[in-house]
Amino acid sequence: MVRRSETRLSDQREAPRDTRSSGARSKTTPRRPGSTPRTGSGGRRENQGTHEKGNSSKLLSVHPAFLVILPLLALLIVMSAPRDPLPSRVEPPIKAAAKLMSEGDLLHRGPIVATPFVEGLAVVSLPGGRLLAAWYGGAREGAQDMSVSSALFDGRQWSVPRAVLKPEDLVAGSLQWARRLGDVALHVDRSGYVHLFVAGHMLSGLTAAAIDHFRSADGGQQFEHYQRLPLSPFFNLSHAVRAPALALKGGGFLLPIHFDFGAKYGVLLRFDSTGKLLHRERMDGPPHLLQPWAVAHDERLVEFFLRDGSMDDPRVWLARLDRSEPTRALLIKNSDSSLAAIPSFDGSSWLVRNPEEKARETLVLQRLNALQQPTETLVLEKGRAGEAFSNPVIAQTDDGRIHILYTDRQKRFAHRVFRATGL
Amino acid sequence: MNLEAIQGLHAQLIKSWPLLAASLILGWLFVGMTSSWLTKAWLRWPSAALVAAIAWIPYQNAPIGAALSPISSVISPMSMLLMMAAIQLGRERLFPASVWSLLLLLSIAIGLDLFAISPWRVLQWGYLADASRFGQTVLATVLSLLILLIALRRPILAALCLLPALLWRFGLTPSPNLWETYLDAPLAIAALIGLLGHFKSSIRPSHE
Repeated sequence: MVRRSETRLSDQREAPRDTRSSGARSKTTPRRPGSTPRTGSGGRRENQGTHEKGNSSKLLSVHPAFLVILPLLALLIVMSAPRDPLPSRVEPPIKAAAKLMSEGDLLHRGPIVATPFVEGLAVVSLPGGRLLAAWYGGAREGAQDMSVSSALFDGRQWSVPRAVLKPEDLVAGSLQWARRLGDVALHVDRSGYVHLFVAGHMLSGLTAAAIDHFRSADGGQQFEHYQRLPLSPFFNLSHAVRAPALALKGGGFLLPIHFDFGAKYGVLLRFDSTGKLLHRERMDGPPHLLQPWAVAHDERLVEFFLRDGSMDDPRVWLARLDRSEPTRALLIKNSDSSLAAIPSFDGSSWLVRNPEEKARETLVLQRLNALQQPTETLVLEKGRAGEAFSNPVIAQTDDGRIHILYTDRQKRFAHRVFRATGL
Repeated sequence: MNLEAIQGLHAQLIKSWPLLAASLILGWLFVGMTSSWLTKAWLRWPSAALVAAIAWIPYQNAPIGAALSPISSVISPMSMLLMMAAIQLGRERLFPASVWSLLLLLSIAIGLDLFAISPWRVLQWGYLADASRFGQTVLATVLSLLILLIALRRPILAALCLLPALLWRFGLTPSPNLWETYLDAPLAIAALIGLLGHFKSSIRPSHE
């Protein structure tokens, strides 16, 4: 069985073919004079002599200059890439007061929800003391009808929520398949674009997700697909978002996300001023830390509070952007539950968390001192056993008010507002 | 054609990338399965194109090829190039074992980094904006070695394999990561299969 030579590339003097067919041919058909052996790097033993000869003829067929020039070109292409040092400076956010008091029970109701199950709330502050919130919800946890809704807080009340994204919108916008939608994160850039990052789950289960990036030019009314973030060559699995982004000096922003597929670790994504992904960086720490939440104390000092997914004595962990200190566990218990934090005037932080070791029925706001130990505790919720007040988010608006929102038993959202006292 | 039109074209190309990859996968699979009958390149290309068109058939809100996106969206430009080379070459072996070995080793290194087993930041070195000089040097060395190993057997294909790097350099690839321009999970599996094929063919004669 002899194949025609026109199937080869013109540069190919002789390429090895299917071994079985060449083997069959060598048994039944006499080799033509001058033909080269049809074996690859693992050639037939009986043809070893001719195989080596064939290989040497192949090497000789390529001009040595070509063999030098091509790798050199590759070297040149890579080495000429502009090295863009990661900016260590961020836009310092407004800082919270060292003393806070609640504005009362007027705003305990968060955005109205239209689905029986809601989760994954994200908020971002807008000018004028306003807030934009987005979340996902559906008929039940894990249902395929999960959609992303958003609502606007005008300083006094929440607007009627509107569904801004459904799985079919994601498929139509990105031409990529998604089974359902998951956690979201929001960011408003200098140009006024609202960036929405959403985990698009391709398979059942929570881990098999890729992150899709949507943008809105009308303040979050309508979102259009911008890109699916390319974060790994292995099926782009499996990253998730939760925390808001940090604005960088000179434009661009830093989005803390996490990888969750067996190992868990924080990941920092850097975007340019147009929202284009520039860089992905794995954060330091053991492989059971997730959901990094950034706290920018000043332009250079940025800390991340991380949730601990380990079974053995889980703690709140702290990492620094500039790696000036190693990632370390704090003396604060963490029940593998989400955290949220903002910086305080005195260089410390306000932290929202579930204080119990294994339950989420209590939610507190705590002020940490310079040693990262809780010094003051305000109880936000104290429920009955089995109830869950979870996934808190915290944001400060330009009118100085601190807004804390969290999921109330996965059915609705609660909204607590604090302001400075003693000033 | 002005700059804005080129940028629009590029954005459209990036958006359609999963569909293009899905088309190519379908065409390549068809040619692979029917290689006994499609012995000539001029037969293989139209057949592949015909089958590839299936991916663009509209279905509900998106073309049917979008359903393949969990795989096709991560197909690297290098894989697409190799699939086209395979369509052209038919049943010939594409690479020597050394190339498959290098691709497999790279996949393992990146996999170890991705699952936080290795302390090395191999994956992040691949980003165009990475500031690590060491990472850039490793990247350049590995790519040069890959191109050299390919050039030893297939010089023109090696020259074509520089194209993804060039596109990456100018920010025109779907991912800003060079590894994702040259590697993906299906290619890692193909490298393993290619390597096993070489071992198998080199071991078999000793038993005959």
